[in-house]
Amino acid sequence: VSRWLPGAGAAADRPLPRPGEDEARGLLSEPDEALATDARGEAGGAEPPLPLALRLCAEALAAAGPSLRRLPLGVRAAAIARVSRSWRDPRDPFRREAIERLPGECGLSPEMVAWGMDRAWEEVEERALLDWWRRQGPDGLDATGAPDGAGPPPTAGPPPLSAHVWAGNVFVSGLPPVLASLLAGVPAVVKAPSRHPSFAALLARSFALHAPELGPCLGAAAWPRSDEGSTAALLEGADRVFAWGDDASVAALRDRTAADRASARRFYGFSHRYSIAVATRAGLAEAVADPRHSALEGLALDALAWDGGGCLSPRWAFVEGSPDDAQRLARLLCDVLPAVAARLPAGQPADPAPAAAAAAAGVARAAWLAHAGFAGWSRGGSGWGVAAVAPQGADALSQPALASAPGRCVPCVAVPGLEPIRALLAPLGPRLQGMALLCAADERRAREAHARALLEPLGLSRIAPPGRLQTPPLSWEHDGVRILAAAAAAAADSR
Amino acid sequence: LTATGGPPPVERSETLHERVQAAIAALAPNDLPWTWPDAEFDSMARAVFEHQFEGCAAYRHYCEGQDRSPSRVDDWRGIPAVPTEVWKTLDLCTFPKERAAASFLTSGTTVGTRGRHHLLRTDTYTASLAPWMDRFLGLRQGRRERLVVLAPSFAQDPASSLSFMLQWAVDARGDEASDFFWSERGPEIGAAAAALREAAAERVPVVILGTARALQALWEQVLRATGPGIGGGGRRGGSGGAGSGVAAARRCPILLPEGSRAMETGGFKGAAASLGRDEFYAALSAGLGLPPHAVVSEYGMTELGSQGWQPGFLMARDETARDRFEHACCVARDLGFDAADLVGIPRLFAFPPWCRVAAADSQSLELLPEGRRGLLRFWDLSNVDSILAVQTADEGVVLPEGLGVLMFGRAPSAVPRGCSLAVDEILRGIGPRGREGAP
Repeated sequence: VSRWLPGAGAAADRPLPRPGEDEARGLLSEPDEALATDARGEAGGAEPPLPLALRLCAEALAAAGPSLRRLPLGVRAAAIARVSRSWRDPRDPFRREAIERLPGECGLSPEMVAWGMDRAWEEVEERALLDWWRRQGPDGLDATGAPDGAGPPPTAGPPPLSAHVWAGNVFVSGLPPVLASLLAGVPAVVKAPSRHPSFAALLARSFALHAPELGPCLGAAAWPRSDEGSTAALLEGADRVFAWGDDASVAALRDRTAADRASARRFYGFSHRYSIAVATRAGLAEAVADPRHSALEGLALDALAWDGGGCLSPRWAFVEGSPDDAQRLARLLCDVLPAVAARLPAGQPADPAPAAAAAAAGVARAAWLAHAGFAGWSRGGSGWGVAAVAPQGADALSQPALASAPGRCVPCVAVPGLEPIRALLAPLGPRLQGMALLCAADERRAREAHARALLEPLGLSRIAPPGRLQTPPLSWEHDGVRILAAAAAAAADSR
Repeated sequence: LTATGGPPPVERSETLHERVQAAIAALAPNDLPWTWPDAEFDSMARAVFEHQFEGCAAYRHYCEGQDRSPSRVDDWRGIPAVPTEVWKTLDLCTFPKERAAASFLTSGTTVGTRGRHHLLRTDTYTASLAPWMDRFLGLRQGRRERLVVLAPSFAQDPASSLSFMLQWAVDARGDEASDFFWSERGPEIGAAAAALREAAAERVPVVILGTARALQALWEQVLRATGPGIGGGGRRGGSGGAGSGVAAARRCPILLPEGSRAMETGGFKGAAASLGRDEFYAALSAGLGLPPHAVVSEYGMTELGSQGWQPGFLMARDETARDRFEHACCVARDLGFDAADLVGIPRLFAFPPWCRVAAADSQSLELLPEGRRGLLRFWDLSNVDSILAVQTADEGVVLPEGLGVLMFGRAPSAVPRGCSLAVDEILRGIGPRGREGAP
């Protein structure tokens, strides 16, 4: 299990080698054999057990918090932007190690890992960070200048420290709140999933190396959910929590933090969600007229990104019109999907028997393509599938061809207009996240407004043109949460 | 004539049944060819496909969506296959299912509805299973043997294709003392052990037929009877595991007469948890006094009328077969696969000439060249009135020259997840899952 916990002894408190110095060794390899530990720190001895290490780390980060907050905002933004640039640099050892490690951990292809990192970091520039602060930062703080000195006395309760509980194999999904936290001057500790430990640890190490002026500001470790002692240690040291996971896991964490009334914790939970694509009549007509329309490739990209496993991955492409129109879009997608799939190949499930595990995706895709083929029309290729299915009845999404579409597959569903979409999606509750809208340029504003009015009650929080759905801006109010405002809230009182 | 000019469905079906049965029956019982000429198989496959295309509207719609029809397939490999998952949701047959002479259901060991395979008539099914079972299990028409079956009879489970097959074996090849040792509670191990002891005392060779799970129960009870510390529940390779279990089984009092053999089927999913497959075979053969080659595995599935068999027992009796399957092992080894078990018995499966197999790439679902690992796809001519092309979730390697198929078991169902909602679970009312992707 990889960890990087400043203040907890061992490697995290040692000077880091410069890039290139330890490339041969691997950045997550501990420099000293004696420092290697398992999840409970039992194998080594130089590092304390994980719960204790987390408490020590929380204390160290909280103690370093005032120094972090005394830095001018511009300095913090510049440091974060520098880290961002390093992650986009193909020579960066952290990036290289992530591309080496994450495919095995997350079941994604190396190309997808690289793509995911590029997209996650591409907007993280100094100007964008400051703009984010202007939009969501606390009132009264100077976005560009330095706070003068010590600031107001700390409020009651624990010092600002954010805890981030990550989940799933979309490894960058929890990144924005971490960046928001650091931008706000709030140190952060990340709990990574035990099956996907590397990105969080590499992230923490990259901040230590590339942004030393921030001081100790970010810790990371991975442990399984069953290690409740470590989770308790994480939560008790934090005054705000950002948690990802399925409904039950997020609810359990929420209850856990709510039960501890000793501190005024803020909890932000982000449960599993789904997204959709919608093609309007005019949008489809444009695509039919120009099969090289960039929106088609964009739609394919949205569908294949993260192997279709992200909350912003469209599960259905609703097509305004007849079943023939749905099939028209499906056939157009058939023309662009192979190239996009070749650029972003499917990953292999992280399993002890990779060949057998890889077959799982094929089995699911074969079954779905056949279900869809019996119900409508389908086509599949290497690592992709597309179908046109006419919904039958109010519970149409329960049809195997529609309910069970595996990742990297796009069911195109004919609907007479936007209104029926709401009825079709209603059984899923308010779990809709985003929508890729393929429409004509001159109707976009009206269509987006209409979609918001219809679908915001179902949770919709993002509408984007095809190809941009999976790359939300920093200022995206994920599940309605103003991420930077949430990360910065109490820090404004305690800088 | 039908809309496309062919004979009416019933007549077409009867003609095809007769044709398939005649083709199988034309083969000398003791000199079955291992493969049919490709043109012969292709001709019959096309005819069966045309019948199914004409007679099953859902399948026709599916094929047309794939731009396939009897006139638009290059050869039998182009006949669209239907994944076993779809057999759970559709009745795939060329006749009203109410007219089915038998309807077999999958075991339902996995979550979801059970797949079903409706047969308009069962004689072709029997014609298909009989010669291959005879060949690999050493049964013979006109000779009655002692069959001890650890599975339900067909009367006990008329929806089980396995029970149908075993019932045929008992009826057609069993002596008067042959029986099914099964009740509502499961395998009747005590009664089966008594029958085995009686046969051993009488020096009557026995053919034991059962599921892996039932045979495991037999093995465990036999071992328990031999004294403490036997079958200590150790895991594969662990202390007190297979090694001690095998050693203990040698002390088993049921030493069956020469010529006895055992058939295992159903696979090891959820069964034989304390031993690996090879170790279990070794333990079973030692525990019953059988030579290792006399424990034979059968691969069958509800959606197929034909079965695959491991050749160990046949190889011990037939020099030609021995040469063939030793060659198969060499070919497999050259391809990078080990086809032999711990004691050198080939653990590949041979399918009859009327059932062809190919592997499909798990990414593109395109057929792979022989010798490559993929998802197994079958074209079974005995599936006259359902669908002859079946896509399975089983992984394997099809060896060149029809030498056999290496099986790697069922592909796992879990795929990695991100933060996307498990829509199907929500719609089924299960609620969001709390397994993968959870913090």
